[in-house]
Amino acid sequence: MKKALFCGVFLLFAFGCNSDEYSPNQVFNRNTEKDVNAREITSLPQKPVGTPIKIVISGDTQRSYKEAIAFVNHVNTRSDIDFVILNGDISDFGLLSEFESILKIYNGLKVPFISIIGNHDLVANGRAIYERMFGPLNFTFNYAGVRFVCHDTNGREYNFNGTTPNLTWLKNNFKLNSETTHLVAISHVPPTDGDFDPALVNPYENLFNQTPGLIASIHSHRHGKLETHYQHGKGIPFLITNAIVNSAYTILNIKNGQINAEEINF
Amino acid sequence: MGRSMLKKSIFSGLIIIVLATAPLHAQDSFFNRFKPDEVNIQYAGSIGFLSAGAGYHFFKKKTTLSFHVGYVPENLGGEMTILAVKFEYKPFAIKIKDKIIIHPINPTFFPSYTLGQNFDFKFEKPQYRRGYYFWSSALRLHLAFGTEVKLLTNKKSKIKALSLYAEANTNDLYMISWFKNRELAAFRDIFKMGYGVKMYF
Repeated sequence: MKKALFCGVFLLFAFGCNSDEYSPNQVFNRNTEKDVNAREITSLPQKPVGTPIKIVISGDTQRSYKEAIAFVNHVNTRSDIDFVILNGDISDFGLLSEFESILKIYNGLKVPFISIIGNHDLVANGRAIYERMFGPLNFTFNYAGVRFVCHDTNGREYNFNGTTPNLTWLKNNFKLNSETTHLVAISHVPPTDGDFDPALVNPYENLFNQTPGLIASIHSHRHGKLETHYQHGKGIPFLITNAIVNSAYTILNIKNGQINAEEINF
Repeated sequence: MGRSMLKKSIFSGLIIIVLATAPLHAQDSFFNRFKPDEVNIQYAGSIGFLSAGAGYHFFKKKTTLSFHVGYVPENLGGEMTILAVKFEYKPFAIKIKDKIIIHPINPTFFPSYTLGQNFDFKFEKPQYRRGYYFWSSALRLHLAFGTEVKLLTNKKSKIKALSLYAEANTNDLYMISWFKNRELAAFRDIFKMGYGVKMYF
């Protein structure tokens, strides 16, 4: 009898104490990290204006934890990378557990990483999770004289209501100052994709081609081989990079206002 | 009245109804017919920070069908109201004298539905083409295992028993993700805990 009682009470608590969950859709729990982008941007080393830089673009991790781990291990074997971009679709179902799993894996990177919103990250409570965990959906940071303009282009998630991408915000942030000589735009959905607000494709591409100092616009989302799109066959390159789910990432070399991109398969 | 105020009042209203109807007097035949066999209050368990429920027993009390309303406050994980219907099966009962019954493992299935503008039964056309996102953001299908320790009261008492229970649950999306990454994590890692108390009539 005593044995049975003991077994029952043991089972009651056997599953452990740290896994109580209020909802799969909860925005945070007591261990959830906050403002990771601000933390990572602060940890970027200072480099003089004009120093050549090499960055890694990774995107579309979704639920591919094995590939994400392999990616982090791969990048950690290199010593030539300044920082890593996680370019959207961090999660698949917009669930906290997915954001936390990918964050835990990317926290293993030896270099800073900056995360951008993807369409899957706006599903369910995803937006609130992203905002609390990483920060604002549109933001900028400077590195070695280049201003990186990171923004939300996931127009379909707003039912193409004309607000996303926010062209006014982009215009206001496509500005150079005494510390910056060039601009690089980064966002998840490329303007060539059906998930980009169709009414904003031309204004967006026009703005990019009219912005002095803008070197390139970097995208992910399409899970295809690295490709380059030009508005009318010339001007600003829109680079569409391959996905972590395909065991691929992209290296960007930026030097003297020139950019070149190379896809790496791991 | 704001949206969240409205939700809060609906939620507290439901809790009051559940609690108030539970011990209703026997001569009230209408309520008596719908009087639940059990009521419960639960902490966590993926259907709210706190949830309240009422249940009915079937098949020699081995099966329970229960209805739950749960709430997550803004400061504990983002405001949410969740509805759930649980189907619980109690295959084993270990009796200790006339005082205690232990149900060591109770397989349970429950759908849960999260209310609010961020959640939809499905991703609707024309915003999304068919199959764009294949799942439902509002509806989750949960698989759970519970353990319950039931303390029996005096047979003449209106309250027949009080119990403590723990429940480990997972859901369809966690299982899909686990299957894709099954070399990385144990199946038990996707189970989330909830704890509660029940009152039997």
